[in-house]
Amino acid sequence: MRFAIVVAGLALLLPHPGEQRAFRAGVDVVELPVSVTRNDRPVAGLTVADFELRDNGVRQTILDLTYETVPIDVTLVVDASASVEGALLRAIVSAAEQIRTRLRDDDRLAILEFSERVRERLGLTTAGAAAAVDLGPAAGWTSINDAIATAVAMPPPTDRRQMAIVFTDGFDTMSFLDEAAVVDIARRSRTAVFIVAAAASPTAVPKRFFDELARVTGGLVEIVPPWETTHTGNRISMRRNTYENFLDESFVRAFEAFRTRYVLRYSPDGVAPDGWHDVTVRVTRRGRHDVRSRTGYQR
Amino acid sequence: MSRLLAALALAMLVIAAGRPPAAQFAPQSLAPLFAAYASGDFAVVARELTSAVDFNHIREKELERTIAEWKEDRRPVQAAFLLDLALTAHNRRWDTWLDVICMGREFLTSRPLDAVSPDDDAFEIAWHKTSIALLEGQRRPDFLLGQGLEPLAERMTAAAAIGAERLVDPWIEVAWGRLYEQRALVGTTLPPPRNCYSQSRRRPALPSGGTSMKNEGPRALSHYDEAARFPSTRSEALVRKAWVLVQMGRPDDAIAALGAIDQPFGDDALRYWSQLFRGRALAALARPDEAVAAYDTALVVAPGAQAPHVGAIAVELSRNGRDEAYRRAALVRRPRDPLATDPWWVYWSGDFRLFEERMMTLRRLVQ
Repeated sequence: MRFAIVVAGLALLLPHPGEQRAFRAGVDVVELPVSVTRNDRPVAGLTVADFELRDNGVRQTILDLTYETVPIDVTLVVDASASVEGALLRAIVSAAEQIRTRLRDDDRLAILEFSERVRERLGLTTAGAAAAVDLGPAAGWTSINDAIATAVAMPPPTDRRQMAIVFTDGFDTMSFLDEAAVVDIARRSRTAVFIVAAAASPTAVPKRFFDELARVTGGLVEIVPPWETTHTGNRISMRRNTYENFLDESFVRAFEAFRTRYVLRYSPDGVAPDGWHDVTVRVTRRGRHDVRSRTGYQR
Repeated sequence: MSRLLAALALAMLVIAAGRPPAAQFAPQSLAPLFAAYASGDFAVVARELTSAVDFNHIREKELERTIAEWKEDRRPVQAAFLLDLALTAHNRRWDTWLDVICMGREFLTSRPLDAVSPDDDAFEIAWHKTSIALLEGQRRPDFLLGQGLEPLAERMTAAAAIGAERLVDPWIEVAWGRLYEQRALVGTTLPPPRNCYSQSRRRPALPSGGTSMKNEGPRALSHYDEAARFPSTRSEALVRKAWVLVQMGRPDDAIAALGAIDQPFGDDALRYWSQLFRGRALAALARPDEAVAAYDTALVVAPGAQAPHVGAIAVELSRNGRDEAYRRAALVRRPRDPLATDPWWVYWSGDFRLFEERMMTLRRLVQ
């Protein structure tokens, strides 16, 4: 009931359609998805009193928070270049399918695939209307930078959270944009960027770039080794991951990490209305909590 | 058992009946392939050589001996044939295709420099440009250096020393510049190829873990500056120089380089890149209106291109032009022409975009 009243009140503050907004929920209200984990597990049951939020260094009053209830728009940004041909492409399809089947009725799914070319495979579609995931064929070079930039440059809906799960298996080989430009675009968007990379080691992908993208958008990075290790007696054997669901857990983990986020709402007070706003959040409860959110927004 | 034998016999009959008509040549043999090629059937290699086993047989058992015989009776068509043989192997992903490039070049350059004719010189330069275009398409700077540029540079140096100036072409300066650009883009150590190249002395290694434009940029620039002195290579040299300068954080100099272009572009890719790079340089100089205008001019040259829109998205978001950024992003995601290609995609492949045209020229020269 309380949430309904808050939403009704917020609706009055919402901008007219077409008005330019970043991740502000209204003219005077900012929404901030925040992940709180402890020992890698989501922490539920927090209240507004448990958070300290600063906007450009000025402590703000949190009007309201919600947990898990705000619908999600998920954009899967998947590598369809030549290097994923075969088992890896099948693993991506399987993982994407896992996400589709986990969507709630009011969540939406989009799929963007990229080689050198960036193409929408599926436009934003509600869970019930989205057909089984189909991708490929895999061919061509890799424009991951351009794909991420294109994926996050989307109008932010007023009543939803946006996340992108990006999958790749290597370095960019064809983008026009460099990494710095993509980070700048991502930090101005409202989309949390989660990256799943299949790589033998963190040096086989642009890990530093991925980390920075995740940091500024409040996402996460997971490197999945393309092999599995088995122990038989004293022997350790490794073989290339070819089974079709070896990416499922990583995709689902990213999705659930975003699902189980608080959404804090506040009306910026005591700060300049325009320009870039740095935002920091911490949990004031005793004990070590890992807090992850966007690092700011553009007004 | 008799049923099994009967089924087997039937299966053999079916297989026999399903066989294609006997080929005109035995494809495992080099001589008939070359004879057809030399008579003007330039498609014969691609058409008849369909098996990696046959190709490897030719490469391992026949090619060296045949080339030795050809050296006694040299004709340009022999070198053209070797390039077509390499092309077929490349297109069929037989990973020893590079061997044939290597053998073809060695055959061609074993021609004495002091006994040359203008036609032979023109053919030799055309052959090198064609083979290097194919090598550039691999985006393997180690291939390009070891199998293309180093040997050609040696050849040109030797030719210049005896006054055979027709074998010296400023085009090689642009190609050297492109090599250093390619090196800067390669992020990881490349796997060694499995071919004659790996055993040869020409095995230049890239720095472990790759390199960067900071290291390679100055070397590329020095070659582009040299190439810019010649009318035939000036436009490409300046366009590519501009892109290197953008990546080195010198957008002012990039604009100056583009402004110095006073020769025809020659092909639309160069014209397109010049606007694309102008857009990027202007964006770096915080001149968003001009940057977007340059990107839009690039789109006039290549209407379905992706890169100008992506560049404009970055510009628009940096100045809070969100609606325009979203509009352009939607155009990238759902293009009007889904099959349109972007000339940006061939930038890093150097002259590969001209390979087909050069191959046809080469075939014309041997007719």
